[in-house]
Amino acid sequence: MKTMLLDRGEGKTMYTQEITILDGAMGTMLQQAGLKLGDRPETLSITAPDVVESIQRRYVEAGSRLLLANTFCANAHKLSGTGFGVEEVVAASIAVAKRAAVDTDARVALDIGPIGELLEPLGTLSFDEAYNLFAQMIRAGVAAGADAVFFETFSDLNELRAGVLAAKECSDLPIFASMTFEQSGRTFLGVRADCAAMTLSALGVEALGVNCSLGPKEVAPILRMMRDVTNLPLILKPNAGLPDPATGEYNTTSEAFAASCAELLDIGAAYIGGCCGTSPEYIAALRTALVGKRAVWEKKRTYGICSASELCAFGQGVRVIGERINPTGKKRFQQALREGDMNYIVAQAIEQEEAGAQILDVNVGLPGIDEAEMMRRVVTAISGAVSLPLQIDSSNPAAIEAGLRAAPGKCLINSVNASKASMESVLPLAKKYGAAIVALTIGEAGLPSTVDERLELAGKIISSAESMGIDRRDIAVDCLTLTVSAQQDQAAKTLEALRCIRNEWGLETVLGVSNISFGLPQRQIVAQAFLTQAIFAGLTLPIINPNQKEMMDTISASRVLSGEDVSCEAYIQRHAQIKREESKPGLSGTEQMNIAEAIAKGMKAEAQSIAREMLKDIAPLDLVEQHLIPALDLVGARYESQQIFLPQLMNAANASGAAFDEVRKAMSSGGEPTKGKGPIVLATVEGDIHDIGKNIVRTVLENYGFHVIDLGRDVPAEKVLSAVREHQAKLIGLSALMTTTVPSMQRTIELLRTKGVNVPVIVGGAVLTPDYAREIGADYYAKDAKQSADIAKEILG
Amino acid sequence: MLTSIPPIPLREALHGLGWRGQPVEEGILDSLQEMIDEVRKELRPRVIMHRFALLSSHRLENTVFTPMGCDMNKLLDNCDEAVLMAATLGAQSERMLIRRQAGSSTDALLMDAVLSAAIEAVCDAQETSLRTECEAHGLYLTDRFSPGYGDMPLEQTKEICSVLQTDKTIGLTVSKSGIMIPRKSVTAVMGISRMPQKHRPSRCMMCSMKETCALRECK
Repeated sequence: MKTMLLDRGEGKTMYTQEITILDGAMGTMLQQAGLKLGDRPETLSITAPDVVESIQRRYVEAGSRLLLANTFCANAHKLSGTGFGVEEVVAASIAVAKRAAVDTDARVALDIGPIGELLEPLGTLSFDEAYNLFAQMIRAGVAAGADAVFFETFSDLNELRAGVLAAKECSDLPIFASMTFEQSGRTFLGVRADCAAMTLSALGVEALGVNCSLGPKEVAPILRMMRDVTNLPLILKPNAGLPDPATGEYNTTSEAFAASCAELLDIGAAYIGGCCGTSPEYIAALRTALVGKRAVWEKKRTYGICSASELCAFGQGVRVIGERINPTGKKRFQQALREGDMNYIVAQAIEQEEAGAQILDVNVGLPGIDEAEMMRRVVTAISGAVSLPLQIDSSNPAAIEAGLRAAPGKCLINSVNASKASMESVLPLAKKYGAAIVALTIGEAGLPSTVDERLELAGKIISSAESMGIDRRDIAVDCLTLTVSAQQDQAAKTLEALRCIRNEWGLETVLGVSNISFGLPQRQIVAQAFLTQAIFAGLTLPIINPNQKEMMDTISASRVLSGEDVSCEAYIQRHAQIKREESKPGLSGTEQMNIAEAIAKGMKAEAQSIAREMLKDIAPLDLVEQHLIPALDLVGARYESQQIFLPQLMNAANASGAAFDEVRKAMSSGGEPTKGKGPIVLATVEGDIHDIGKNIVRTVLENYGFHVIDLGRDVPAEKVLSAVREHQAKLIGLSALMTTTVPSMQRTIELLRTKGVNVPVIVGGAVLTPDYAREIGADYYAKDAKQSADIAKEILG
Repeated sequence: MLTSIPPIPLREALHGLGWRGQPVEEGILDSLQEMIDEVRKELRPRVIMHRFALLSSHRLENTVFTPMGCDMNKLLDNCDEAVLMAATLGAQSERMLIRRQAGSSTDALLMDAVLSAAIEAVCDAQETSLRTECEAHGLYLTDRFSPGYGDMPLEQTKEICSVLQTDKTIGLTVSKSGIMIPRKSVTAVMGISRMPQKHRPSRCMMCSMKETCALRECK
């Protein structure tokens, strides 16, 4: 269907489109025809095609003009065990639907539902596996002559993104994308309706919307949330009201259903059908109610970027971009990248979110690592813990693409500059993945030195982007912060260009604020003044370290002055909170406590400060041998005799770990941090995501002074092998909680042994026993973290 | 159906951590209580329950599902109906764990125990209300039995989820290796009979983990 622009006068542009009536429920209709629960309805297209065809013919006769083929779960994952393949089920289902539509103008869409497994980082299915499952269906659908691809009932935005990308890359068919929401306007996974609409719209689908979920009345506010962020026509395919909890019967009649749907034409519901509980009668009622009517809607009001659950709107004030996910000049962060320590990186993300960042910049460029793969891993890991939208920061197009592919939402790309090479490689990525961009005012000739040069470079990027179909309101301009101690005249020029871009061009503006003060003493002061001036000049997206209180104070005060912080509420709240934190009692009485007591009581700060004091008088190794190890041994003995329980052991281990940090600092005295004995490689095996136990072992081992490389959870055998080789591990610890995942542990050990790796392996996990451990080829069985540490001491000394 | 998590006894969370009545620092108790409050405030449990007539083969009518195992056969003996139940604390509970994990593994351990106690409380409340409803009609509900208890195969988790369409109805999925995601989820079978039912002394004695479980002493 063609969307047209309407000029309603007074400069009010609107869109309009004919209505396309979709079909109604298939699953519930098949159950009425005798389908048993737990059976795959899709295979009926082969085993009982007449039943499916007659239901679909009734829909066509009732008025459906886009039929969804009986392919909802025809993916390889859900069909496994049925004896039928994806290609044959898809081909048969499309053929059945085409027969039902024969001699009419009704079209047939390949219907695609969720795979039924949760994607990483919450689940174990990778984005690429999901993509491949969808791609297989789509290729089969194209071969069978489908007229469109219709995704529905999704609750994971990233899974749907995998599907939409597969449809874009494997077909030229129009793509429809619909999700299922609860009354809160969020899906089971917490995806917000407006975030879904913004993301799908940017990906370039034909239409997007809501199916299943609730009745048409309850769906209305959800569709309105979507309307605000997209210009596309909307899909409305609700249930027949809400089900009665006792009988399961839906409560809305076909006439009431159709009338409620018709009320949503003026927000652009243009593809209308029914889901659970609807029947051909409902579709016939829709036809009667909608005859001769068109959908009409206004242009979207909100621009910006988003994650799956948080939307950052442009043009509504200052939005802080946190800069801390970046290895430049940070040894600990570099180590985390080299060792794949995602927990450390995720902790940095959480810290910035809690400090008030609204967008996170993600930069993982480090010599010697595969930046694209690392970008994928880091973006995936962060999105499991933090809901902020991301800014993908790289000069490597492959890494940018990997980040955009993995991120569940609409990202900002940092950055594209005015050179031909940059524009040709980055702008197509922005278009394909629907990302917003930072336009950096650097050209072929290098850095600009005047205001006009900056504006010219920005203009060049903007026109190039617009010519590719990127909306200028998805562009944020970076007028480039130069170091004021080296080029003192440039700060004012940056601000002047920024003022013009914000006030005259009306675009968002970005600056990496801290660059301003390189080489100066008390950098903070200059950076803070620059931030204040830049916000006044029109900076909307400052890239800063949100953990620096003074910078966030400046942001918070500027929001008061601009009126963005209505009634100064956020400002007042911020300072009430800071006051509470300051009034918390500090350390006291530590002088009377000795280090063994501090460790036994799990008092981390105290253990650290006592260790620091002690190191003034005794050698680091003496502190370890004479104080820390005996204290830990005592705690371990108390744990074994059940005088204390696990959390107390962990707290004690953490306290001694804090003391160990002081020892390491003293030993390295400013140089490279010394690493502990080992290394020991730890992993929760492939297929298993239970990592609490493994992480306890890690904590205890580290705090006994061992160097641990933690590969995380759901780790393939090959990855364990390569990490053991790369880091020359002296000991390997494998964990599995379920009877179903112990075989994966066995495969890992077998792979290590067949590849000639004879490093000892400790195994642990709830269902293992010493005998079982021997049976699968492990060298040691550890019943708990304490025993793991005992074994490590025995092997590594 | 439940729309919020019932009260979570602190003691249950402590038991999940292997606590045997040792003195516990206030810090740990405070953390647990804070987490209990957070969990009850932030999470919304989702439960689906469906009653089926039980055929003589023990297959549930209108489904392809037959609960397996000798223990299950004993449980469903004399029952005319079976109830399938699935409950989950939702994806947000996974995020809570992941966030705790990035910070401190002790906190992650405590949160894990709180969430386990929470899903148990949800299932108990649901079971109790069903039991009351049955008794009002002169019927008796058996114990609640989950895949992995006794000799009921763990693999049946997937079948229960498929019959209840839990991915669509409550957002509960089963991974290739048979793990329910979100992890803090339960699937279970209960029987409904016209005759009074014997109840087992404790869940532990029926559990396939009774040899290795650190909590086996709890009666």
